[in-house]
Amino acid sequence: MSIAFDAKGEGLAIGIDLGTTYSCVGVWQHGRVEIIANDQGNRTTPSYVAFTNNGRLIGDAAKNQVSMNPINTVFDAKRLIGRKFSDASVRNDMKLWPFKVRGVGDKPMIMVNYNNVEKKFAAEEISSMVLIKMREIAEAYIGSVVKNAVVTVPAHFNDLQRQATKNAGVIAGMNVMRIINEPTAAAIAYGLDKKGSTVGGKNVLIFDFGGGTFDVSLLKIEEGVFEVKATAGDTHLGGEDFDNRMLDHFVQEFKRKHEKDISNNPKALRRLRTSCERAKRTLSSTAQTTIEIDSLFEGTDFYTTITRARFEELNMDHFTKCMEPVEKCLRDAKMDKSIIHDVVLVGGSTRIPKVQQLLQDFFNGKELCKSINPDEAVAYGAAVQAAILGGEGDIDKVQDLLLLDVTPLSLGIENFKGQMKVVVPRNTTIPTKKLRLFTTVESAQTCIKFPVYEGERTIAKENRLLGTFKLKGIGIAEKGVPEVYVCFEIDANGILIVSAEEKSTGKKSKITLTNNCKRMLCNEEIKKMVKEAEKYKSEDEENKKKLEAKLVLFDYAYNMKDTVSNLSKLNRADKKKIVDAVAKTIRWLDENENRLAECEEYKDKMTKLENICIPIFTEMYKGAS
Amino acid sequence: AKEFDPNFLGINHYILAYQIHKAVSDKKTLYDVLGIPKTSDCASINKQYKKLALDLHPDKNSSVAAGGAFKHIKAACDVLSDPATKKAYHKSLSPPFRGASSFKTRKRAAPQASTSTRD
Repeated sequence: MSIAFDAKGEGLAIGIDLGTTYSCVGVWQHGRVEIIANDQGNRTTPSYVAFTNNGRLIGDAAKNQVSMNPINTVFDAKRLIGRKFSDASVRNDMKLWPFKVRGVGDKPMIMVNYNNVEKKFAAEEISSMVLIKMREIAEAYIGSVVKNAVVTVPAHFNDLQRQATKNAGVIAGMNVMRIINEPTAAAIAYGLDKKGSTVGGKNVLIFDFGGGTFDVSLLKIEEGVFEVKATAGDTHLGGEDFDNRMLDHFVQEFKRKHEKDISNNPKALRRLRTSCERAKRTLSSTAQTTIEIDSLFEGTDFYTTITRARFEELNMDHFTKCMEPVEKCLRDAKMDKSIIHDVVLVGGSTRIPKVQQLLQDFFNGKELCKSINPDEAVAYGAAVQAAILGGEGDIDKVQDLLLLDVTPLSLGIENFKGQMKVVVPRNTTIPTKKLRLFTTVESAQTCIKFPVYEGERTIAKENRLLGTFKLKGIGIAEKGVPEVYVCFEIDANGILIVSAEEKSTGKKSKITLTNNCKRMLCNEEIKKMVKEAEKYKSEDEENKKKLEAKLVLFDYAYNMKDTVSNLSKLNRADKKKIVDAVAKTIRWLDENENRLAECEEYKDKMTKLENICIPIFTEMYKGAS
Repeated sequence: AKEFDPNFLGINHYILAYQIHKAVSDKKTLYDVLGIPKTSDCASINKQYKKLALDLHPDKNSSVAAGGAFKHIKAACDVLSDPATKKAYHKSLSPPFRGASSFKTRKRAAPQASTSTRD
């Protein structure tokens, strides 16, 4: 009868934190959240996808081989998703990425070499591969098929970025029940156990500083209701930016010390970047650390040290930039910093002592809350929300829990002066419905165009255009007389419907702002991508089989080689026959080192080798007995 | 009995959602919409809103009326929890059935728009 019951039939719903650098998955089971470890035993999985001649790798396997294959290993898809190729941030990021990005239309496409073929992927497709991996991790743990998931996005993601993330879920063959905001999810993780103690409500500031994005959300938690009061942030600021600064610093140092420029060598850059990431982490607990890379570039070793003070100096502008959204958030929520009960740290970058210190100073020395796991809190909250939406109703713990989220950006219409007329101000609780009266600007005007924008600038063109629609057939009247009501309606899923109605004639017109924008993927494209995703999956399985066949042949050949060299009973001619055949097989394997042959080929070679070896051995044992 | 419990609860929630819609379309006061006395202070208004939200939010209530009902209680709470708008609203209430205050027109327009965009 209800949605809850339908969802139940489809198995458990999972929560996925789809991060810029790392992803994490959780599930609500047996009355609590379980964060699921991957096949390597890690509770977070790198958001990396690698394309090699031996197939596709996702997660740890992809990140582990990155220095060998930098140009075909894709990461940071979240920094591309839902963005235009012409965006300044995409332009800047491209300079730092070892993989190639090209604009098709205005959509950025990632170019890689997969099985010796040039392929292009949309950011959605890369994210979908990570989602598939996360689902597989969950399925292995739960032991059944998982269809439904709640996926998180940074609170400050715009409508396009959210929609693109949802599409990634569709391509991965999942039903994305809801896209929720990362800091809000973290707030659930924080507030779930403290539910009983929130009499009179608690004001909580979530400071979510991850690998690629930064969010601040202010919530009021009261009697199980998590009400977001305001949210602010930067979708392009995180741990990776610190790595980049450090990388830059060391490239300069290398130039100074050895008079060699490594900036055009992706492999060397990647190795240095990996060391930078490690050094950054170490500097959160020690005052100084060393970087040692043997033969970094043209046989030159690179040994150096970096102090925490130097690291902080390199990134000071990033750190101070973090405090602006905190102020903005408090201002929007009309709250003074003195009435904040708890400041909660989420995301790996909050481990940086300087960040903690700046935040603590801002709150006049208030103790920061570190009670939740900064890497897992978001997935934890997403899993709780998945349980709520999936109708795990038998669990009292989630039944009286409700999440009231807000719109992160103002929504409005461009008027004839080119100004942005805000209809839904930012930080409005959703679902919501807002009306605003518009009228004609010319006498006898019969048609009004409504360009719908998203953003905070007063000049509409500087905001993001979501779509345009027209209301035609307005009754002829003096300018300013017709009353046209424009209604913005946002449902709990954040889907925006804008409609306009003329009072006197009752003429109506509306637009649903999903999949409607030119830059978005249309349904056909998504269908095509879904098919391709399935194809890649079966290819992965095929590759696995090929690899196994290859290993069997490899094993057999070397086994024969060993056996023959230790056998004295064998006559010379027979021995030579086997040695030759084995050598031929090994040579063939070596020649095809970088290419996976068909299963049949391996099997064929195997039979041939067996046909030579087995009769000789049988003969030999016969003779011996 | 436990198996029937969730369904039974669901029905109560359904009825609640329709009651909110009825209160709005009957042009009752915002206090009636929230189901609280006119003398309520800010804290109790907020508390009642949270209580209703737990039952009416579309995540919790699968009735088609839930979304609309939630928007109504949120709008009512927004007006009544801000001292300035609350005062203005009280002013608009005191001379009954006279003149179209901004709140009345907004409320009248709301149900129409919701029916037109919901299909």
